[in-house]
Amino acid sequence: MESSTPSEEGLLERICRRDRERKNIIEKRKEEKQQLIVESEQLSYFKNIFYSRCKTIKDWLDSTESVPDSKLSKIFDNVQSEIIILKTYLFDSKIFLKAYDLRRAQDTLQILENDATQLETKLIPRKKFGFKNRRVFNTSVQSSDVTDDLKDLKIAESIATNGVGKQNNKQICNRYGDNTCMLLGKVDEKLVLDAENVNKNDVLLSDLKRCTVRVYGTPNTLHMVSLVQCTVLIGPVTTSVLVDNCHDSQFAFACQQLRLHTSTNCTIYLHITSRAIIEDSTKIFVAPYNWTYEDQMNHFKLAGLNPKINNWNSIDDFNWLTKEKISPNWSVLEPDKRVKSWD
Amino acid sequence: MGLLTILKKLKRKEKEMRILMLGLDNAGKTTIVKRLIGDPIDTISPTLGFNIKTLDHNGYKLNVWDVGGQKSLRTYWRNYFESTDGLIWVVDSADRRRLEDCKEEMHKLLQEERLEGATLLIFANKQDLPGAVPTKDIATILDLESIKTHHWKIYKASAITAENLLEGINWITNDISKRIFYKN
Ligand SMILES: Nc1nc2c(ncn2[C@@H]2O[C@H](COP(=O)(O)OP(=O)(O)O)[C@@H](O)[C@H]2O)c(=O)[nH]1
Ligand SMILES: [Mg+2]
Repeated sequence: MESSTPSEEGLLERICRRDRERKNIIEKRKEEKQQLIVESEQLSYFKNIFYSRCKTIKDWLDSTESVPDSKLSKIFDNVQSEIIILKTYLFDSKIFLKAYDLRRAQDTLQILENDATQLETKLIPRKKFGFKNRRVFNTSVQSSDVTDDLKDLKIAESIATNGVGKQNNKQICNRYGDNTCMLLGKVDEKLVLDAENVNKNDVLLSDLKRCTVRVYGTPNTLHMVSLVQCTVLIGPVTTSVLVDNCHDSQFAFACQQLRLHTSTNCTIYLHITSRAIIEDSTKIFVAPYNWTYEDQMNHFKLAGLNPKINNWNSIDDFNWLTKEKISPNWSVLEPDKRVKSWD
Repeated sequence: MGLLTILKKLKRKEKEMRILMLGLDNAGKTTIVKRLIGDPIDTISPTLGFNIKTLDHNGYKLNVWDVGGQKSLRTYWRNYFESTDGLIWVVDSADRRRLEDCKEEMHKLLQEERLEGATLLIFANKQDLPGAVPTKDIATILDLESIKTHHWKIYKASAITAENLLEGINWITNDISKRIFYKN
């Protein structure tokens, strides 16, 4: 009983060794198998994580409709950072993703990102996305061309002002190789532009103070920039009216589109066949177009504007894109406050 | 196989191009897109956000993104840059007042890393107007000669008469396809 024979020992050892080897092989196979599973599971793991987090983002976005305004920017911040995380995750996973899965994941992210941007633009009134450094590139050498060009424009303007202004009862129409009509830099004046000069041309009114301007006829486009305490009456404009930096003024015009920027305390007697948008503006009042003159109906025809379609009281505010509440930046001028006669 | 190769292969298979349509507001972007599609153009409203339209052109599927030009949206343009093959920059040739602004925005855009290599088509739009600045002057004012980072070409155009719209689209799709579908 004390000891087994050498041959027996040998046998036992051999059995043990073989058993160990067998176990090792099994272990190895198991590992290999495991590895395979891991690889195939990697994809479903990725998909699980990726799409469930996409779903979360989607839920966040859906919640924005019902959440108080104060919470919105937090949500959009979360959405942004989550999207970035997912982008990184996707990028890191591309080694084991098939082209199709990769493409699908990318598309899903892209759609979410677009939705987020769209919703954010719609729901959050602009504050943090100013466009402050717009002039940054002004200092580059290339801008000299433009400055030169604008210089020419200025010179042409002043020729027009001096030459025509005196002869033609303050009526200024310049011919800087084109047909732009301009009224620039006037204070306390009554100004008139006639149909023959105006029709089909662009009209620019700029830097006027306490002036009354009447424009008969159909401008193609009307630009009004930096007007203060002015009254401006205009015939039907073929395409759009662009207003920028105007204050304490009243306007009457008909047009297809209106785009009003950075202006305050202005009343617009408006005929508009498509839509008006305002941006960075407050205290904007609207009323229906009520300035009339002889020939106006012909001018409507000439401008291609339908006198029967007028969307004067539906204005989109780029700083106020929620649908539930109306923008505080504009309102309809009460009827008893409207100007009855312009003469 | 790298990500780019995969994307290239996918694109080649689907013959799809992503084209961004940008420019200041009122330049005529939406009108051009509608004109190309054949939608009526007399009821166009200022674009809130953006429109995506798909055009089938010479066997290519063009996804055209028409992004609102309002100031508050310009900082969002970035969000649309990823995998853009071509850029159509629309200029209101009659809007002298903002040509400088137009130039600045365009050059700023071209410095964007994500737009590197994208083909650039410039439409000097509204050339039907008597007050339009001639196309070669637009080219000078926009300082196109200084652009070395992108293939570019400027076309005299009008969304109203449709002048050169198709020619422009032909050029940009040809240029893009040379780059992404045949070269590898
Ligand atoms: N005369 C003329 N007007 C145009 C042309 N293209 C657009 N418009 C007008 O310009 C205004 C702005 O056009 P829109 O497409 O909304 O500009 P967007 O802001 O760039 O999308 C509209 O009133 C159009 O009718 C054009 O080629 N010629
Ligand atoms: Mg538009």
